[in-house]
Amino acid sequence: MNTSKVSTEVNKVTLTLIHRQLVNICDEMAVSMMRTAYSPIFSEGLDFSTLILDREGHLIANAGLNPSMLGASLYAATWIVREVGPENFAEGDVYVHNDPYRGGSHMPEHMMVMPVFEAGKLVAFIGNIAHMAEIGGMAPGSFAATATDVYQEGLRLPPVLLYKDGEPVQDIWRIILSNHRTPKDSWGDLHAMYGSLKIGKRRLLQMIEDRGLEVVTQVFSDIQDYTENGLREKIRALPDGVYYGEEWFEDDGITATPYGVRLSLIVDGDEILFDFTRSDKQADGPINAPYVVTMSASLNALLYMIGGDLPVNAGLNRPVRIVTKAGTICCVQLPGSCVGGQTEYQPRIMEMVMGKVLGPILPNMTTAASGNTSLNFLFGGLDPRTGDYYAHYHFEATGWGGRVNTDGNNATMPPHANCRNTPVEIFESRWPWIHEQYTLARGEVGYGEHRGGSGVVRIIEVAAETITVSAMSDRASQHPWGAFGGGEGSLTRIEICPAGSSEFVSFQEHFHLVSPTKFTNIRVHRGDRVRLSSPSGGGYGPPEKRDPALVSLDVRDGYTTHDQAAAIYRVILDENDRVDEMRTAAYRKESE
Amino acid sequence: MSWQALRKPWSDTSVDYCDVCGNLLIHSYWEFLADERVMRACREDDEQLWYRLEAFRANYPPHSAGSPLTRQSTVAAPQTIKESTS
Repeated sequence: MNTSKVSTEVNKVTLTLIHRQLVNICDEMAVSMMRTAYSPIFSEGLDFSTLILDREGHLIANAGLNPSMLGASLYAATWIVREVGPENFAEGDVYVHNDPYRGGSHMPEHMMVMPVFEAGKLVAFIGNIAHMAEIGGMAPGSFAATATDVYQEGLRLPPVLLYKDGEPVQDIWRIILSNHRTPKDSWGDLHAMYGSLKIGKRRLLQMIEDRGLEVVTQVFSDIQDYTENGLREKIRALPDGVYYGEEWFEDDGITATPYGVRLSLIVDGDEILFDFTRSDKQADGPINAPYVVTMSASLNALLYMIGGDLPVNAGLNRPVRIVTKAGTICCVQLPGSCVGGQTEYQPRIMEMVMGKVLGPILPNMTTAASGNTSLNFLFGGLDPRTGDYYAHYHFEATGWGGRVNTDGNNATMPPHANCRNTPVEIFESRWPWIHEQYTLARGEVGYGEHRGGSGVVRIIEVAAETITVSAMSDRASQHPWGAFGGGEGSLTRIEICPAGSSEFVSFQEHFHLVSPTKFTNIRVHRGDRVRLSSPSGGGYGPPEKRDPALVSLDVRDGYTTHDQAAAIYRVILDENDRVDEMRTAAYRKESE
Repeated sequence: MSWQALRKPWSDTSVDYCDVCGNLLIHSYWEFLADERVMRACREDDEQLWYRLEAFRANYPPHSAGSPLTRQSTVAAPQTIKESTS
């Protein structure tokens, strides 16, 4: 049915239906990318987002797979549109772009945009952002924890034409493929991105034909207004005031100097200002954040706390301003390195806002700290089974913090990322590692009325002559904090047991490194074993308020011990770890 | 107090930052004078934002520059100070 003649007044039902349809298009694009990609970071990790944008590049709908890309989703396409000029886009064009100094989050994440024309008129863009597993630079996996400038982090692309008139621009493809260590994977992943754009374009044009251009473009505008108005209403419900928080990073991979982020969050009527300008100057190493990463951290925290089911689009930006200072860790200045800002800085700043800053006024919506590192572990080399060069960007799940009504999730990526782990079977079939252990670290969770979730322990053995490894993490000495009387979570540990030895020691000690969690291009050899231990989450609420039946279950499941049940949780268990209710009640009363 | 074009030759790959919020400037900027300093902003309403922030910043408490190892390991009763803005 063609409804192009109806009034462009869109009622809420139509607005909801069309918006959901737009989100469904993004979901279908995502499934296409997942199924056609070559790299497990796409097909298993789901480290990408799919987008529909208006003719100016403003975000209208997304698949929402990876919240960490929110800032770039809101901003990078507008940069492309303004840099290229809307009048210069043509049917069949596709632009690619990964520049953190043009609205990107960090260089591995590539954005593609394709213009959509209706009757010769530019009406929208289809876009996606995806983390490419390998883009060159000083370390396999393109996550150099000791990079001191952006030029060491891989191939940096301003917005350039990847397709023109629907045909590949071969010169650009050749530059890209010549600079990536695993060009076959890049070829497949870039085509997966391109294919998803074509699906999105086809579906959007179908919708325009069915609903009419005027209605669809009116929805583009109205859905942003809806989000803006909804967010203003939720902000207005918060008490006006200035709320403060700070977060520290242990080192930057170059020196052992800690770096601090300081936030003054201003609630003023129906607007919020995030003022980060008192933060430390930018680091020498790559823990810095581009502006959009600070934007992602701030907006994601706000959405988690008060967003409810608000549609995610460019309307979010209207009642909220993110204020930083160029040259600080929150707004890196060219040529600063910044690959770790997206994976380490962002989740920590997000939870700082949720826990330390807004937690006191929204205690039922807050959470204790999660492990909150992506524990990035990168590796590459020649595969003895095939003779081919391989590289992989691996991230490890951590435990989440306890919340007001539930324990923290076990083995889940930090809340900003939402990615999936790579199954052992995929891991071992693609790369020369053998798993000895991959388990939950149940005994390390933060205690509490709602305890933290468990991190993981992974032990892998080198099954090639040499593998070059790098790492980027934090929390080697700062525990994930508990909330409202809950206990701390555990720490990150990256260790090696050299071939022939039976003892694990830290990489820092064994290789004499500056940082225990950030290093680049360490060569490990056949028979060496690597142990990655990700942090468990902090607890929420005092442990002596935990349901005794859950404590009994915790003992049987290995989250705590018989003795800790008494000492920390004030729960007396019998010899079969069942609750002695009378003695427990008396003990808890006595302890009050 | 006007929009200015940010003109550069195509070969110039340098980047410019908003003096108010730190965001990148794309091809144009809003120019205004604040405390005898020429400011370049990414939005027109940043001029008003600058003065609005100045009022809040005057009341920020001093921050301490401590070691993270001693500052972060406490069980978190919220480390937040709230101030009235009225």
